Amino acid sequence: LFSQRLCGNLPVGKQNEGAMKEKKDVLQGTLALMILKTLDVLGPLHGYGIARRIERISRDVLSVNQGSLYPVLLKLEQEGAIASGWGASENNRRARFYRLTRAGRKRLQAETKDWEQTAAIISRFFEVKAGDLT
Amino acid sequence: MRSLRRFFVRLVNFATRRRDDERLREEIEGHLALEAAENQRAGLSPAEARRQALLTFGPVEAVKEDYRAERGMMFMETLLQDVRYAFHILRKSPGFTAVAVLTLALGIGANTAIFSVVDAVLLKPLRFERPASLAIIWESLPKYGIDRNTVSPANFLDWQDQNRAFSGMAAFLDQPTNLTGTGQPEQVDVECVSANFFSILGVEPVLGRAFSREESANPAKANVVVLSYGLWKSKFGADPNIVGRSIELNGESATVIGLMGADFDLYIDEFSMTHERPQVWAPLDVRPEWHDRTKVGRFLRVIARVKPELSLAQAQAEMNVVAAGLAARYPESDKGWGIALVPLHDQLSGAFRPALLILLGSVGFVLLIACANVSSLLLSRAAGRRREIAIRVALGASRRRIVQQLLTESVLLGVIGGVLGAFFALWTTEAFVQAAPPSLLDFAAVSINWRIFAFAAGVTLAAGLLAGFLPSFMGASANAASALPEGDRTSSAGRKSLVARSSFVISEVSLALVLLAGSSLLIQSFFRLMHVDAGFQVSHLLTFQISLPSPKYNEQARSAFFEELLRKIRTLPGAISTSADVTPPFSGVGAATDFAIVGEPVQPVGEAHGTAVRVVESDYFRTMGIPLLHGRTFDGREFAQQRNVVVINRAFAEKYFPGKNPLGQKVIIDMKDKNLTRLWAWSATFTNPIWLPLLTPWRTGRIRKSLIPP
Repeated sequence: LFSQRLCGNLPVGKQNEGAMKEKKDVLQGTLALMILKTLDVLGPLHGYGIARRIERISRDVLSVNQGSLYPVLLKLEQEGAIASGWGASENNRRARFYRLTRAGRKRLQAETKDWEQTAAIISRFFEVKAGDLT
Repeated sequence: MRSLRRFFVRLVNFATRRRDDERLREEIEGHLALEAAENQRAGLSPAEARRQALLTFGPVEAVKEDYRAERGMMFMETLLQDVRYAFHILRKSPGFTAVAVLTLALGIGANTAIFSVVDAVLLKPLRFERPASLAIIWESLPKYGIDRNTVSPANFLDWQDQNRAFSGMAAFLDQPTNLTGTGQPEQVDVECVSANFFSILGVEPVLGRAFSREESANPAKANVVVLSYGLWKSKFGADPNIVGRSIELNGESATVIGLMGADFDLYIDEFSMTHERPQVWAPLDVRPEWHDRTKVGRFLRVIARVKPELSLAQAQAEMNVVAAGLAARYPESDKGWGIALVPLHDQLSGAFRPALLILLGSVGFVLLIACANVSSLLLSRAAGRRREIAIRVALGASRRRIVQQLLTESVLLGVIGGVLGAFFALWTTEAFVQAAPPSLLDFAAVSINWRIFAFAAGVTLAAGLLAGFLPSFMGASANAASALPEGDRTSSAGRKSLVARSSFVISEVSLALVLLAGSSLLIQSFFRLMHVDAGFQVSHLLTFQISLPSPKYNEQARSAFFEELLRKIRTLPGAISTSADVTPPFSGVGAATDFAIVGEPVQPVGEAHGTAVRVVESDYFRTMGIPLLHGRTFDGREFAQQRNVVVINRAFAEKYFPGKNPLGQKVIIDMKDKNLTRLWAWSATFTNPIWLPLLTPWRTGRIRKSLIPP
């Protein structure tokens, strides 16, 4: 399963581009926020731990694909919101632990605020009855 | 900020080829182990626990793919991959590659070469301080369609006083002068300039100084000159102590007070008396009689710098007011005259602009044809590659990916062609510079700079994309089902490529037709120009010009010199006749004046008839081969006998004496102090409406000699 991917002479690209990509971006944005929140609440954690925590709180998002967490973790790290280093996991294996950086904490606060505002607006919008609009 | 940081990290990863796939592998392994352990705790068998863990994790390869895309720069990576592959493909068919590259190299090279000339002549700013605010000021006479004319000295002096639009205004006047005392006597071009000429241009001598106000106020007394770098090197052996040295001009000594640098170069061909670049500058002698508009004609050229806060259009508006004021005050000399500002850059490049743009347009067409050629080559090759592309599509390559790959190939062709074309351009530009008229490159040094580089790069990229555009899209649309079975030549893709190829042929032929028509029109115009009836016989006609220093030769001595010279030349074997005039035909300068016809009602002031006038030696008509229709020509004794006679041409006769015999009619010509003048003859040419016999009071004699072998 983990064997090297065969690199042929012909460059072959992926087919699932376009609409799929857009959906993925939304998912990635949500995931990023969840990761930041998880690390904020629980402190340094490895990928599996983050996945489990997110799964437990929001069943649907990650139930399909735990693996999709890793590219998002890398993105956050490259943006400087989180940092990582090797440590020992519960079963004494080497595991990569992620922690929130100062920039990441700031970003979490800002995005939480944004999110709450958006959520408030949307929920108010849905509470409005037809009669109120006149 | 965030995305910038991410971009740099990715760039560094890409550049350092960082591939820590190991880290992800270990992380995934650990993740699966933890999940499997969890599953086992829930009661599953180890194998099932691992299977379930894999299922929850999702497709490992896709995660790796995303991970890699996030880490580095996917676009750059695939681009590199494509370029490598394109090299491989191009190497496989060297014949095709050579033809395509050469075709593009020719197109790109020709464009770059012409652009480098366009850049030098039209785009590069002049090497003066704030060159955009420099302008040449001409007078204009719209009623005769004259939009540029030399300036009356009295008007120039009034402009200097009255305008508020210019920070400085200087006049200049060039004249041939004899330089002696440095070995072989030589004719040099001396430009007499106002005191502020150099400061307006923002240039200073590299040695010594420019003229002071006192020297300009009394040039005859000061007798100082500034030398050009070229003359200093050629005639004075680059003498480092040149400042203060005395040189001999027209037999009089003058002191060198300054030396201009090698890079100072301002030569305006229009209305130049000598048509030579200035080699010596001297202060302009503003004579008292210049203030009299009725006695002195128009002969100065004027350069000025517009004040920084004003535009050229505003300055022109200001000068229009000045012109109207002068016309109202001096109607006899200034009515109908206007003032025309020409930006210095336009003045220098104006004549070449249309020609260069035509050239640039034609090489642009040549490049389009080259692109179409390469396109159809690519297209015919695409048929042979349909199998390869179909396999890639079947393996999951997207259409976009295929197009990107094929475009990379054609752009690579363009880039190789561009590099080759750059060498071609260097060589062509050299040849072009050799062949160009000297006045084109007088002010414009063709040199490689960032604009030419950017142009070449842009043209290269555009040519590559243009040539590859259709073939790539059509190549990528070949679908797996129709292409994989061998020998499918009637598929819709094949038909489409056939249509595309014939449309290439059509566009190539039509572009070539446009080029052909354009160039044959140009050739025809040139041919007609060569066969325009100049009004005289051009063949077997030789000319030369000399000037005699005025202090050494007085009027009589000069007259005697010319007579002796002409007589001697006439005795040379093969010489048929000799003559002289003051300004040769088509030299761009010449005299013109008002005149009145005796017996006609007097024309209102400012609306007198005007005519060009040419002063000639006897035997001029025979020498030039101008046929005489009626009357007789000059016999050389007119001056001695004080006879006021002129010769006119047929157009003049038909215009002013329709249905009458012009012989014996009388005219009053302003230039001749308003004496009555009798029409002497008329001839069948149109270039010179009126001829006067050559009388000696001309300051510099200029002689045309003609030798017509029997």
